[in-house]
Amino acid sequence: MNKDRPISAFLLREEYSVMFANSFPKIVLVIFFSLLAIVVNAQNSNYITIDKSANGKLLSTLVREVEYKYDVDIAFQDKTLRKKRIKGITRPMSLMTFLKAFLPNKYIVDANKDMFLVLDYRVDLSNSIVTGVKKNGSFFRGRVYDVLTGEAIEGASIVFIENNSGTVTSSSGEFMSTSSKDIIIVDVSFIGYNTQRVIISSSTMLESKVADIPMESSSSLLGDVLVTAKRHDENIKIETIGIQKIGIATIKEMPTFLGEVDPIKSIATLPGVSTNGDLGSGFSVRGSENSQNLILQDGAIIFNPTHLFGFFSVFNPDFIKEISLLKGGGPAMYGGRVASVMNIETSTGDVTDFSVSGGVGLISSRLTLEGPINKGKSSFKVGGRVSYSDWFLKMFDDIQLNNSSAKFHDITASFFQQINEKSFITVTGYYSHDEFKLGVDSTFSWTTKNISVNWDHKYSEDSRSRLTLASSNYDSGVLHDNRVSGFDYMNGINVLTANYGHSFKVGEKTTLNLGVNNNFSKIRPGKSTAYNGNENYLPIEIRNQKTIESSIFAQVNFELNDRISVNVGLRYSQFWRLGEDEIYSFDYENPDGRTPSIVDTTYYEHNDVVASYGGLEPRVSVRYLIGESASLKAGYNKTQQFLHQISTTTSPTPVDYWISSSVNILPQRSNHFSLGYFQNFDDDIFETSIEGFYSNTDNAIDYISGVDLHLNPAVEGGVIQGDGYAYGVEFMVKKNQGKLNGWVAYTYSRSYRVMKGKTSDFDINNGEPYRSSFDQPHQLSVILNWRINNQVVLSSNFTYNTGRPITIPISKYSYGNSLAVKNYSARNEYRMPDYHRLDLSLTISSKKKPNKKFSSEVVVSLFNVYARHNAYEIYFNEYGRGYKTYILGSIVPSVSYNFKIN
Amino acid sequence: MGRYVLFILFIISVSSCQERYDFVIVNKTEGVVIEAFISDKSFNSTLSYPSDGRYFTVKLSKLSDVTNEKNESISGARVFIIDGDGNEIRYTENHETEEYVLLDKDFAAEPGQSYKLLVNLHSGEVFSSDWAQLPTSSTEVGEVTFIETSRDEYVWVDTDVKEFRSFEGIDVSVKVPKNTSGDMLFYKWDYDPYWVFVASMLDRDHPNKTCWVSSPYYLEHFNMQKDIIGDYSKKMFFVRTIGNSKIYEYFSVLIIQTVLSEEYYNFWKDFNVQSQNGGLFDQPPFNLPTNYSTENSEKSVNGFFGVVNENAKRWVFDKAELSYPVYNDLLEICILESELPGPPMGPTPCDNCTYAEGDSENKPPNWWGK
Repeated sequence: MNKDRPISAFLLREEYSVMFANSFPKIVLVIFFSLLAIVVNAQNSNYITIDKSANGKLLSTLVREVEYKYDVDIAFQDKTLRKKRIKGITRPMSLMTFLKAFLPNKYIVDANKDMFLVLDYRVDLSNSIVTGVKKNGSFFRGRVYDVLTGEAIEGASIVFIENNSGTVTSSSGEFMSTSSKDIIIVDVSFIGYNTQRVIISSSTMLESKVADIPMESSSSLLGDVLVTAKRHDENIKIETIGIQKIGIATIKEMPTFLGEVDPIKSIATLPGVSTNGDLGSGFSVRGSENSQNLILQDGAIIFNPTHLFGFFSVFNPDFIKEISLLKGGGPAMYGGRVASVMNIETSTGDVTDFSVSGGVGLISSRLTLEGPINKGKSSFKVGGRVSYSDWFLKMFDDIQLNNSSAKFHDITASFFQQINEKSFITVTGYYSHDEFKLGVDSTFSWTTKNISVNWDHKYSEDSRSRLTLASSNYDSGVLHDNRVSGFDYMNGINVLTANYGHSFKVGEKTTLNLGVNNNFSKIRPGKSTAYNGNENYLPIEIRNQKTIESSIFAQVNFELNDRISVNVGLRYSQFWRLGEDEIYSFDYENPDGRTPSIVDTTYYEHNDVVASYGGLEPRVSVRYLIGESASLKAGYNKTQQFLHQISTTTSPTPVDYWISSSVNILPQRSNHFSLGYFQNFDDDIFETSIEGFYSNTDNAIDYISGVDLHLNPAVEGGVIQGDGYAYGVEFMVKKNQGKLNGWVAYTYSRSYRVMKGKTSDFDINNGEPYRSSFDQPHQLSVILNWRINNQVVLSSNFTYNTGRPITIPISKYSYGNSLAVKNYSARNEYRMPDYHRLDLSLTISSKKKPNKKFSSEVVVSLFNVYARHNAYEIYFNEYGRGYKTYILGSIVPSVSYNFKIN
Repeated sequence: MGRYVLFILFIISVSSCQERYDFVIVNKTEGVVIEAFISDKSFNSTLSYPSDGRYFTVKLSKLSDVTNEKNESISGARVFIIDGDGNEIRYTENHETEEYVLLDKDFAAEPGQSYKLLVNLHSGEVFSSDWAQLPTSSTEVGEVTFIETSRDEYVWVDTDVKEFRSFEGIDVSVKVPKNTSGDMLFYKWDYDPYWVFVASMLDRDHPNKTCWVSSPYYLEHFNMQKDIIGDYSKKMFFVRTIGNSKIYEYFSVLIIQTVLSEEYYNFWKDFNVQSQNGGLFDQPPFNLPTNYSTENSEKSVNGFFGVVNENAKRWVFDKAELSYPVYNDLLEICILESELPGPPMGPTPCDNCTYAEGDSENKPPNWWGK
């Protein structure tokens, strides 16, 4: 046997081999790092012969000799057989013939020409995978993943044939079992996937401790071998339109700013997604406001996904497993935001081995520790990042820098516990804190404190559930530590979540998901107290708001025929705003200056219903297969949003606050239509797509001109609601494999508002359509990765976005004692300069070797290669003159070092 | 990598920079700015405040680009005040002050009468205000009082360093008259300070020894108040007492109290907000309202014509009412300055009062002594 042969994998059918050879790069990587998977097929093994010279030898001795002579591998389920002494050979004979005679109660399986298994019992091995692994003591360890995406499958059922016991995979897709045998046979199943029988054989020749088990989606199985050969075209086959997934491996390959891996910036390279430039809180999807996107991390809500005003993402890359972006609101299980859902799944700790990983960058460093608590049953993972930019600033003899501060830290911790073979529980905690002070007086700070508990339970092969309990907390504030006018301002939101979802497989081609969602929110719109007893400042506190949002949903996926697959969902959401509260009644006919006058106040007692709203949210998507590598998809989503973010400033900031729907503020309701054509070429090496969308949002939010929204108890009177609509077309060409891979995404989209006030005095732009703040017609991203060799990857990222709309002073005049009273343009009539940027990075990884416990990589990045001064905002001085504020004034080089110790 | 290199890397990364950015204004429209008001106090009535009298004026100017440094006034227009009976009074253009002045010293707005301002440009374009009337209520300026206090301020002591300091002074308040009308009153208070400055290094008989000084930049702010009850003191302004040369000899403030219409009040309220913006919590941008319109011009029109009830009181500060003495340190300062090494500094307020801060005259105003 060739002991140096590359680790490889072979599937049962030849088509699978074709599929693997041309599949998603991750699969190649996974296979590359996997140990051994050998197809059980009927090869002629008679070429291996033995003669009477073998008599008297231990079976183990004979096996070693044969393995060496014939370059084969022979595995015994019962390792005690190796101690049997050979006898009775009178003539040359094939090994298989001898073993069958010598071990009459055993079953000899000729897996392929170089793999023989000696099993204790007869099992059906058709459609099975044989894979090898280095057994760790008595532990077998496996990892189950999607063959198309390479992503781990959490909650997959593992049934051990020998004793009919079982377990489920962790969030990292892993499972572990103890066995005295050297071969175990398991059936692996998961809803939506074909059940897979796997023979895991212990081998001393292999280094990997984890057996890789690829799973194939059953929804793409059409019962035809020829068709199944193409079924890894996930982008073609999946029913739902508007889904974008990006794995952490892809994110890590992209060029970074100061060495910090940033999932938000990575997501923004996908079609239809944009950020606010170099800084900014959040992102826009298809012309949405930032606050119209729901960001979930393991079920808990992230209200601000950025550190340092948007320099970096809050997500620790060491914990991210996968990010999914569901444009238009996604399936019926999601709700609460009208534009999109960004779902971040974190990985849990390794249940078998300890490892340490981390990275050192110019601005921050991170460290993550993970390992088993009870081997095979429970694990922990804890990691954190801390910036030292603040310490850095203090190093210099510069008063401005000394008086400035920019620092953050975050901690993510997870705990995984397998309760029994049918249940496991995952707990994820997340804490992050930012402080940002530029200048002498004001310190901005914001803190996220989240914890979520997910309990997954399998009732049967076709029925499983997940219960999620989460607490999401976001607080932000400004401390103005000025003895003259100092104040301490804060706002926040706390959401308690209780979700339950149950999925059933009904027949071969139908999956049903049912569930309920509940969110209990406490909103603190704003409170300000005098700093240090400053008597010049009048304390203000806006009354807290309490809400309940309950939803019930059902979603069914089914195939009408070989070509048409349908995903139909229905969600009903009911919202209550509860007292204690005071709600103003406004008179728009007789305004008080720029805002409607307050004519009455209604007081609501504790838990009185202030306002309630409800509505159905149908979600439909249909896929029609056109041949083997093309599909047409259409989708319709209706979504509702009951909480609204108020931005007191011209640019979104971390201190923007939330308010609830009420008598005066209606829920935002959106209809989202999309149509897409997906075509793959060259055995899926190239993916192309074109998606068109149109969405209209009722009760979209904007603000009355000149209204003071900061600590304003009558903020509801300063809000104007009207229609928002957006449309566009998204193009994407992606090359999945090869030394040169990457994608080009281009989006043409428009986003408008029509705001007609209750009287014409409150119309914005005379009630005519105007561009929303996120109307960016042209968005282009070009991502190219050149894998020079297995250790070196050169990546580039070019981004172009049309400048965001802006309202500017177009003239001025002198009046009274003011030298310049500014006359502004119509709302959002002008645009900021276009944004474009080129980044490069070179990642040099250490060579991967068996038995090597330490791996590392150095990432050299050049951010903003041609030093463009992209505008963060346009500031207008007291005379109306514009000044472009830019964050990155030049090319920004950086070096970061990442490592992992297993 | 050296510390300096790391520093540069960091700074270029996280420090924001600014550069001028001029938008290309499309469909640029010309505009006219009209600044005018009338009140129920004629020129002759204002003499008794006491003051040197106030004519009603109209300032006409053009809108300017935000990149321009100065506004351009409009000359050659015919400006009228028209009442509801059809009477017209024409303003006279003063080319020196670039204003149009209503020279009728007895003209004052009358209760119940409607007024509008009419501006006829040389080009034939006509702009007019909405009709406006005096508010129904007129109130006298209430009692002016002050309390001793101190104000904390940061003072720049170097280019990059400011220090926290506390300054002794007084808060001056005006009693808002009791409002029994049941109507909301919209108050605005403006201030016209006046003080005497003495050049400490000059002989008593020198013509530039004593000056009477006013300044549009001292107490330049105005106060506003909506009121439906009255009978309380409203804080108007703060005057430093220690180290403030304005109060050493004589200090008075003409407190002009006007009662506005609600619309005019809201105009000034917006004006105040817009002139104070520039912070993080700024409101979304907005334009000031106007009550002017045109029927034959493409030009926009800006400004607000107000008809107000006006009363004023000259408050004279008596530093003897303070619980502590105010020491005149001007002579000491002047002596110290004169002993500074180096070439002579040229004329200073120490040896010529007309160089004092503000509009300084070496003769008293006409109202002086009245």
